[in-house]
Amino acid sequence: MTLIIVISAVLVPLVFGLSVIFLFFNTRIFNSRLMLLSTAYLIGIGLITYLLFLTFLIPLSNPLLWLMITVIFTSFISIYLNKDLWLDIFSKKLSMLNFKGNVLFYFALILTFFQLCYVYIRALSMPPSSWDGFAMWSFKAKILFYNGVYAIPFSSLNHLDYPLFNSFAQLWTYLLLGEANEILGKIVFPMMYLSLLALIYSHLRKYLTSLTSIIITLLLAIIRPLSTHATLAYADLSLTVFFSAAIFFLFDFIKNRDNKSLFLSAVFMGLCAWTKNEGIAFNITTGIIFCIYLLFENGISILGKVKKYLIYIGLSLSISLPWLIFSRLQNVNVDLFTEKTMTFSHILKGLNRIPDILFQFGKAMISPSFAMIWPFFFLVHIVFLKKILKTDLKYVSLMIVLNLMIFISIYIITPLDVNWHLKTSVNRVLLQLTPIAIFMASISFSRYFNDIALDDKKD
Amino acid sequence: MISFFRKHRQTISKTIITLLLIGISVQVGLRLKEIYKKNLPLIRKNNIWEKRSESIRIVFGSYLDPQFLAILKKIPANISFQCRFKKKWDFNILLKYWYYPRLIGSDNRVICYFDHALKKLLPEYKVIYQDGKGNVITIKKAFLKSILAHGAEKKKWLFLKGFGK
Repeated sequence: MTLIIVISAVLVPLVFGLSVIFLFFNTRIFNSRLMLLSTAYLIGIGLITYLLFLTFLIPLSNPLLWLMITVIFTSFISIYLNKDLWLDIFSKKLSMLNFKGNVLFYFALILTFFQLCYVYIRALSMPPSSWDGFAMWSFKAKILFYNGVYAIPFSSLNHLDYPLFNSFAQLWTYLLLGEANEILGKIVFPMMYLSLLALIYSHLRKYLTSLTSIIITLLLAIIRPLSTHATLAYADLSLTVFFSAAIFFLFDFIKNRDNKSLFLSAVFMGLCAWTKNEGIAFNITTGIIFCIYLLFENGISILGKVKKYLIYIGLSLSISLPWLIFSRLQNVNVDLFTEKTMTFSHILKGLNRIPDILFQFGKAMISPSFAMIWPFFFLVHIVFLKKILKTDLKYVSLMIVLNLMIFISIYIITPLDVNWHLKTSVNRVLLQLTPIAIFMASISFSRYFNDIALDDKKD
Repeated sequence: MISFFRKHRQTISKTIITLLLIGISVQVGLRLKEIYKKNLPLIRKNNIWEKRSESIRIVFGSYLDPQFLAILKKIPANISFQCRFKKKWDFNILLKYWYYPRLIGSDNRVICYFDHALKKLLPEYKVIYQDGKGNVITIKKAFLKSILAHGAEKKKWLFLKGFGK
C-alpha cells in the first residue's frame, strides 16, 4: 500500500503537470516524450506545492482534499478539451528519447541507469541527515504536517525567510501517506534529479548528436554535488533544476521565438523564487538579460517586445509574489540584508574579501567534484569568444557571469565569517549554475568541431 | 593548431568520448559499491530508524534553549528517548527535529537513537542515567565535549552507530 501511495506521489504531479501543459501550452515545443514528461513533473510538483501553500494561507481545513479536487478538476477539463494531445503521449508521434543508438550510446544509457539507481537508493535508505536538509526544510515540513499552520514553535530556529518549496514538496508526500515519513518524503528529490537529466538531454539533443548529448548528461549526472544533493533534501537541487529548466526554455524562445517556451520559462523562474532566496536574484538577472536581448533583437516590434517582457515578468511574479508578501507580513528577518550589512562602510570593508572569495570559487571550480566542467566552460570562452559573441549563446554566458557576480557580492556583504560561509556554500551556489554552464560550453565546443551546426540537427 | 584539430577531429572526438566513458564507468562502479555496502543493508533492515530497541532518556541541559527545555520537562517519565547527532552545533536543532512531532504529537513518544559505545562512555563522566524505565539522565557539557574530541573518524563512527549500524 505504501508503495502505491509513493507512486501516486509521483504520478499525481505528473498528470497535473501534463494537464496544465496541454491546457496552456502545446506539445510543439517538446522534441521527445522524455522532455514532455520531465517538464510536466516539474510543473506539476511546483504548482502542487504552490497550491498547498495557498490552502495553508487561507487556511482550509483539509488541504489535501482541496488540492485533489483542483487536480482532478483540471485533469478532466484538460482531457475533455485536449483528448488528442493526451493520446499523443502514447502514440509514436513523439519519440521517447529521440535518439539513434549505437553501442556507446547504449553503454552510456546503462551507466546513467546505474547512476540513477545510486541516487534513488541513497535517497530512500535514510532520512535527512545534513544540517540544511533537516533544520531548514524537513523540520518545517513536519511542523506543517502536525500543526497544520506555518508557525515555528522554537525561537532559536532561524532562516524563516527561506521560501518553502522544499518543505511543501515533502509535505505533499506526508499528506498522501498520512504520516511524516522522513525517508519516503524525500522521493521528490531523486525525481527532480531525473527530470533535470531528462531536460538537459532533450535540450542538448536539439543541437548535438544523441551520443554527445547522453555523454554530457552522464557527465553532469555523476558530479558529486549534484548526485549528493539529490539525496539530502537541500533546496539547492530544486533551485538548480528550476533555474536550468527556465534557462533552457528561454534559450529555446531566443532560438525559435515560440511564445510557449517563453511562458514555460517564466513559470520556472517564478518557481525559482518560491524555492530559495537566490531564486529572486536569478529572476532579476534573467529579467536584465531578457531585456538586453529584446533591446538588440530586430525581428520583433516595440509593442511586441514590451508585451513579451511584461508577460514574462508578470507570470514569474504571479508565482513568487504570494510567498514574498506573506514572508514580509510575518516580519521575518532576511539574514543577509540587514541594516548592518547594507551600509557603505560594511560594503567597502567587504571588498577586501574579494581575493579570498575568488580563490575559493577557483578552488571549487577546479576540484574533481565538478568533473572539470568549469575549466571546460572557461576554456571554451577563451578559445571561441568571438564565435560565441556572434551567436545567441552569448546570452547564456552573460547570465552565468552575472549570477557569479551576484554570488560574489553576497559574500562581500555577508555578516557571517566569510571563510566559513564560503566553505559551507560555495559548492552549492556553483551547482546552481553548472547545468547551464555545461549546456552552453558543450554546444559551443561541438559547434566549433563542426560536429553539428547550431541550426542543423544531425542523426 | 586549429587546423590540426579540424583534421583529426573524428579521432579526437572518439578518444575524448572513450576516455570520458572509462572515467565515468569507474565513478559509477565505485558508487554502486558504496550503496551495496552502506545503503542496501539499511533498507534490508526495514526501517531501522524507528525500531531501535535500546532507548534511554537524556536531557542535554545546557545545550537546549529554555523554551525547548520547558517542553522536555513536561514529558511524562515513562517516555523513551533515542538520539543521533553529528556535530556540536547540530545538537539543538537535531533534538528539536527528531523529537518534534512525537514531542507534541498524540502519542507523546520521543525516540532517540543511541548506541553501545556511547553508553559505555556515560559513567566516566558521572552522568546520571538508567534505562528507559522512567529515570532521567543528565549529561554534562564536559561529556559532550569529550565525545567531540574523539576526532573526525570517531565522530563519523559514532554518527553511523547512531544511525543503527
